[in-house]
Amino acid sequence: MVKINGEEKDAAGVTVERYLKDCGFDAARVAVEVNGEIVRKSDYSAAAFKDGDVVEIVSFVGGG
Amino acid sequence: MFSEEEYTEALSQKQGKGMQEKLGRATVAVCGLGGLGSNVSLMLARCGLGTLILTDNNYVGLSDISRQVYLSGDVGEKKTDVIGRIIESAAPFCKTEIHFCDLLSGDTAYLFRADIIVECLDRAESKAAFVNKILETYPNKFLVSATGMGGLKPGNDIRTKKVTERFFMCGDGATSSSEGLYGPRVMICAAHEALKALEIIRDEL
Repeated sequence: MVKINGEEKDAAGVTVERYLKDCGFDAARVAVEVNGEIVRKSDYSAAAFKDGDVVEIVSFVGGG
Repeated sequence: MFSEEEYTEALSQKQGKGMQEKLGRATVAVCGLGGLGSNVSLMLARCGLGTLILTDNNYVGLSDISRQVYLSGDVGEKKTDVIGRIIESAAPFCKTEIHFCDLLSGDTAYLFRADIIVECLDRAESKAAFVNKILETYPNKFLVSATGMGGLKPGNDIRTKKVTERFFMCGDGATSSSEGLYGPRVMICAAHEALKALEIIRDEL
């Protein structure tokens, strides 16, 4: 299981790109950290979640 | 006028001597000087922050004066010029380093000097790109970001969340400017960012 934004998800083996797409995130409006480290956008298609990973996906809306 | 010693002593009465000393030694970079950034920077300057690094590449527009610190006579001027003047008047001993440039495409090596970086951009894509850039380039710096402060919705929905040990997000996370932007709500979010910066200064620097 992978903890994503505080919730346990069955997402081991899923790439960041796939997960974002499946959940309706816009890749241009997010920051993704895995185990405290930022995942570069260029790595989204290659980086896959592993069992036990702690993931934070921050998504941005306009205004500020 | 008053001396720096008198000023520091006076602020210490409200904020504590120890905290005042920490504030004086700290450098915060406020990136964007709009509804968030103009308010964050003025709040921190007023607390007696030692050094502010301020960046924006825009001019004061008429609608800006609903929620940004600029006044009607400032419309048309560079935000960096105006905020420099305001801060000099509100906090005469705050050192300001001003950059009129683009935070995404421009050279931002100067951000290295900041202890804390506060993201105060406007567009969702810009916020995301900037946050990614900072987390990649300066993983050991503290980053305070904000999103979701639109609409006439409850101020109680504006929160500060810890994303990782050095990365914090303020706002309600969801309400964009397409639902309107009201000064009080934007300022609540700016205050969250400023308060988080103060907490980091107190606890981590």
